[in-house]
Amino acid sequence: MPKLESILIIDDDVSLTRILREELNSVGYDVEVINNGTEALDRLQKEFYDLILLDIKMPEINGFDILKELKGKNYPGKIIVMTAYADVENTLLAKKLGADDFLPKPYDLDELLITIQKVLHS
Amino acid sequence: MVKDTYKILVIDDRPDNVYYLQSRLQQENFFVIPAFSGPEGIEKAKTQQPDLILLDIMMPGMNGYEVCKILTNTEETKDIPIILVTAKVDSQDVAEGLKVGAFDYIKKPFDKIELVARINSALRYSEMKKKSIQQEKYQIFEATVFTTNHEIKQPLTIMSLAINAIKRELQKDTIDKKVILDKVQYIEEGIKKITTVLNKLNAIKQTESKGGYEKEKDVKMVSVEDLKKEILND
Repeated sequence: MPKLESILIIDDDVSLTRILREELNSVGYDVEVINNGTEALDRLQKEFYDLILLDIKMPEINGFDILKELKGKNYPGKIIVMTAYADVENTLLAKKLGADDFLPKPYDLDELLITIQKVLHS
Repeated sequence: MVKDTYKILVIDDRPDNVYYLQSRLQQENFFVIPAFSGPEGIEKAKTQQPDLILLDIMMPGMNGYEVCKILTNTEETKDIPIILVTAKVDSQDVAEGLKVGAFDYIKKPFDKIELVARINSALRYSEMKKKSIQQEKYQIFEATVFTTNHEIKQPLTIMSLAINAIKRELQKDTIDKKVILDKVQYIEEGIKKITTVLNKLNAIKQTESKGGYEKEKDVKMVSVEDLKKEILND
């Protein structure tokens, strides 16, 4: 059996990450969740994930700072930024900082899966 | 000046004074509403919403100070600038007038140029005040839209994913009620969150319709840019 593609969800909203994990598990991804940005950076020093789903608005350290840090260290996995603050400015900033894609909230599972597949297999 | 014609309410018990002011101000392209007593003036200020009020102090019955106090304490008239008209100008009169909320005063007999200059200055001040209030309202609106956007989109995403999960479960031969109930709970939570946000918006609307610009406890007066910075740095 081929190895499942791994996804790390970094978002402080516990309800969202719980259901997101269930949904992505159900379509065959190996999913882990971290609800805190600092913890996520620690984990990413030790673990590799094929894809990171990254929220922008988080306490302690926001998604853009995490993105900057990871790209600064040439993190080899793909990164999709998810946010409710999806204006042109934030989209451009995410792209500039090296995000592979940008997914505005609200999204449904189909939109999410299309974006994930596009990014993972591009 | 913003408008072509400004409405000025002249409150004076003496018809000759009203007549003089009316003809002088009409030459300057102002539209004059006459009132010959305090109560009549208050009524016309409420119903006709002039841009400025010229108010005589010495009137029988209700004097100018009393009228001024009522106008500045009445919701519909509190933002209209008032210029007191007085025959005797001593510092006590001026202090008394400003204490009851007048914007300025002018002494009789009128100097024509001074009269128009003081009126124009009061109108400019009033326009600036209106603009600043509008700006403040717009900033509150903008900041509110920005935050509620997030507060609504987040539960909407969760609800959409929950609906998808329910659909998937319903397609199975054996439906697990527990799974359905668990996902329904997500939808119920989402509805609660969105309702709370909408109630907050409604509270702001109600505050505004009362004529006040007080901020709700959890609605800060900030620009969208500041708010963005705050969000990204919190």
